[in-house]
Amino acid sequence: MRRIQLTYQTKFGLLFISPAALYFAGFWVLPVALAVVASATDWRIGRPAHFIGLSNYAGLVSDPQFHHALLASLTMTGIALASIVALALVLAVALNDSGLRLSRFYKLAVFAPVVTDWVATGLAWQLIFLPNQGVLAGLFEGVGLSQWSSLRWTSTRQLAPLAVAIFVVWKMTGLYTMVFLAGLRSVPREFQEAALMDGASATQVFSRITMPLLRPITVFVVVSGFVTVIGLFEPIFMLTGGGPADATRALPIFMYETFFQFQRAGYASAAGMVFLAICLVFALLAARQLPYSFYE
Amino acid sequence: MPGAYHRLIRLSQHALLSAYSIFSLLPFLWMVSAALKRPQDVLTVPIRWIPPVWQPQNFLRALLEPRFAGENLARFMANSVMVAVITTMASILLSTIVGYGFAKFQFRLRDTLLWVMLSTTLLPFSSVIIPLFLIVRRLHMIDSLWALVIPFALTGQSIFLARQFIITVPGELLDAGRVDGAGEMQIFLRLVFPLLGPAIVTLGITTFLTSWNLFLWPLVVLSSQERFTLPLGLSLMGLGSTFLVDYHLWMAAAALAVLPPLAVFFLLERQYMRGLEALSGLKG
Repeated sequence: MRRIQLTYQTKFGLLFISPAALYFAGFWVLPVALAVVASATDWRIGRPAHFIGLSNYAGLVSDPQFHHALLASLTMTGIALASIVALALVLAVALNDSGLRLSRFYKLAVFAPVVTDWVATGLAWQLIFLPNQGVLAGLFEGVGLSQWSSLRWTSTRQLAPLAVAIFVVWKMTGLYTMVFLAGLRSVPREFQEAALMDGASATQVFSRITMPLLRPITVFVVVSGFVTVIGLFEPIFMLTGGGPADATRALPIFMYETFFQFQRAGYASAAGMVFLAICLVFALLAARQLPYSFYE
Repeated sequence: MPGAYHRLIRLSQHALLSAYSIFSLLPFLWMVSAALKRPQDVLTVPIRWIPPVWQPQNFLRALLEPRFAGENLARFMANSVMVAVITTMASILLSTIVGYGFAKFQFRLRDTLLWVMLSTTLLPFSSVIIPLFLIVRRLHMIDSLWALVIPFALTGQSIFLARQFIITVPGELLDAGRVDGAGEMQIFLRLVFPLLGPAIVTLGITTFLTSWNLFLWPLVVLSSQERFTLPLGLSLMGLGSTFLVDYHLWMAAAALAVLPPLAVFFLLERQYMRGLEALSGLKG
């Protein structure tokens, strides 16, 4: 009887999840398998491919362009992610107060950039960063810092990665603020209240009670933030197009250009696999720490 | 807590949050203000926040003037609406079916499978874009709007979201349906699906916004401008493009593009945030 029950459950369970299996096979397994095969060939679009083993990977290791891409990716992701996590945490702590007036307005304001698209907001940011005439230049003039109004934000090597990072921080901090806020809400208030009763200061309560309880959600934010930010193509495309020189030519831009402009399908696939491996390492780190519980 | 200390904390909360809110909203305010200006009033130092001469007709011009090979922004917007609506409807149906399978049936490797699907959300889409392009090309879907719908109609994210909501549907209800002799698909459609109202709203907003904001994928698969979506059409403007530098019209177009997502979010904020909480694994 129990056995029959089990096969019945298996049969219908698999039936219901079959669309997902199809999708997963078609849009993740197959593409990755294809890319692995392509990465071992010298395939260029429109020409026959030959098997060349690991030569593409060896090529990447000694390709200064690829080194620049890795460096640019890590620099921009590092700057953006560190700022996002710090800002999101602080904002969430400030918002986690049921008696705070205007809190709904603040929440909507902080989150608004998240739901809009990169291109429309990117157009605005292009004009914000425009030297001498742009919004930032106008604001600098307004506060008497006129020597800064001629800064070429998107076309100097030092500032361009920073400009992209600022745009990314503006666009994404709201998302992780809300994730942190949800995390803070799940911390039972009694813990904090009891500690305050016992004479602990607000800073002590935060560092000794709230922060440790937020650890899993912080890990989630860092990992999912890393993978999301390092995979971003749009903000770079909108602000700098990868320039000046190679200063912002990050991995997604490098792959896009190698494939769609230079048609080097094999080489671009190898770069894609390295990129995927980097993200996979982070995803696996996350898997151990993720707060998901499947047995509710 | 002593009153003065408490007031100081409140004050710093407001200072921090209003400073960040200004940073967050300023680009939108500037966008709208520029969209209402004459071209010569857009980039001025000092900034003129209130347009000296109002030009609300900029929005109509941005929407209707043919710019890109005879197409106008209204066309791109219609394409975007079509793609986002179809993707959303397909996603609601597919993800609730799959979510139901994961939530209400017992089978071996179920949780492993769910975990594997979920972990795809931790891999950036841009890392598989090249092979995905090759697959879609083989399926003869290049330069078709279906290429923007089909790969996004079921994602690890939407499956997990649906599962988190469906798991709260009481099992007794399903058993009652079975006793009455209903088939499993009938039970899902007649008993479970109607209960999912709020969850469907959450699922719908998430999918709609993702689809509306897609850029890299349409850039890769679409080539005819008559099929361009809004972000793709907008990207033809911008510094370095060959079009006239009509900054006031750029901003009018940009404002038109951010308006629908912002409206959806402001109207359905609660449902959207619930989805976010479910996705970060805190509630379900």
